[in-house]
Amino acid sequence: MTEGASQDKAVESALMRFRIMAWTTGIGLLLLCLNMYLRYVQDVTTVLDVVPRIHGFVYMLYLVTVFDLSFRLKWPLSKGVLVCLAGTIPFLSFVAEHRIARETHADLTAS
Amino acid sequence: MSGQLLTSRWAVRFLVLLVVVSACAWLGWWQWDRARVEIVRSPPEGVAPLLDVHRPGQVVPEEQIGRRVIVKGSFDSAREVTVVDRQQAGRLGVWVVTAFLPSGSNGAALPVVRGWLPQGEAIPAAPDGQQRIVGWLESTEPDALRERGRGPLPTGQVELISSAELLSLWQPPLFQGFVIQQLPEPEPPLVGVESPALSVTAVVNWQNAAYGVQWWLFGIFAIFWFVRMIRVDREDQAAMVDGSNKVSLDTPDATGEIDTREVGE
Repeated sequence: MTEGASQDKAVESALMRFRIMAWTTGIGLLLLCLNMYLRYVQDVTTVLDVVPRIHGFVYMLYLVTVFDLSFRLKWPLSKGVLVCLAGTIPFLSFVAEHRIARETHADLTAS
Repeated sequence: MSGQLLTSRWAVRFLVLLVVVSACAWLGWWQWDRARVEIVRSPPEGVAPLLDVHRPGQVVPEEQIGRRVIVKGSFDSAREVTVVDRQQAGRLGVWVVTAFLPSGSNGAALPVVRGWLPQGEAIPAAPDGQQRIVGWLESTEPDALRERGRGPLPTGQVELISSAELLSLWQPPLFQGFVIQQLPEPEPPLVGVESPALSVTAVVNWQNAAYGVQWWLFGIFAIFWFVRMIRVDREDQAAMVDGSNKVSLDTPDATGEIDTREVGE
């Protein structure tokens, strides 16, 4: 029983890490789009020019949190990959984050 | 039967892994390649008179880039720029570039790099009168070397020796190439510019370099994921043999993928 509780706790914190990174990636992705627009359409340089250089590493951290969560929750491979890919489409990472959080909370309370 | 299913499933996964890793490796290499500029050259030996190998209105022939040339004429100290961010022996400084009017070239100006100057030093005046200069012939520096997003520089400073940019500053006619002065040796505080290497590979675009590293990291991550999947699968199979926590962990798959544990049963 206590083992189950501590496992739940570990899943909770893995979920929290995933949620933080999903939001960071989602916001980063929007900034990236804004940067592309300013840079290639408006042809101006802004401080946003640092975004492309770091966004890939931010996304990497996102992948690690998805990876962690997917093994804890024993997701099928396809689900893990889809959640990873959701992080590359503007706004979809927010949707994915919301659904995964709701689903995981439902599972945790059910068990 | 179940063993075959398992094996084919892992074969497919392994193929997907190979594709993903190769794609990441290739994309990373491509970005890395874009981030660098490699210059290889093998100019003929010996010193040639400048006008024999390069004339105004013509580009510097590729095989003559890096050639040692001799040129006579005089400096026009009214036309002078400094090229910013030039390193020499690990120190940051500028190149001092002055227009040189070679005799017999009908007033066309040749940019001559008189030397390297430590950051912040005052520029010594160019020598008056007839000069004989021996130096390395170079072609106009490509715009690709420009640092993206750099703001406009103060008057009299340039980022690189571009004949197009110098034309607008110095008025035509102008040589397309330029010469890095070797002899006579520049007087202090000017320092002679180091002889250009025959093969140079330099990272000039850090953005592409960062993308390259990111692609490789994704590839490594895919391998990591795959290895972890194998380990989890092994543990599950071992647990199944034990007969402990068999069905309780299996949740129905929303995506329709059959879990390996079910296949095993």
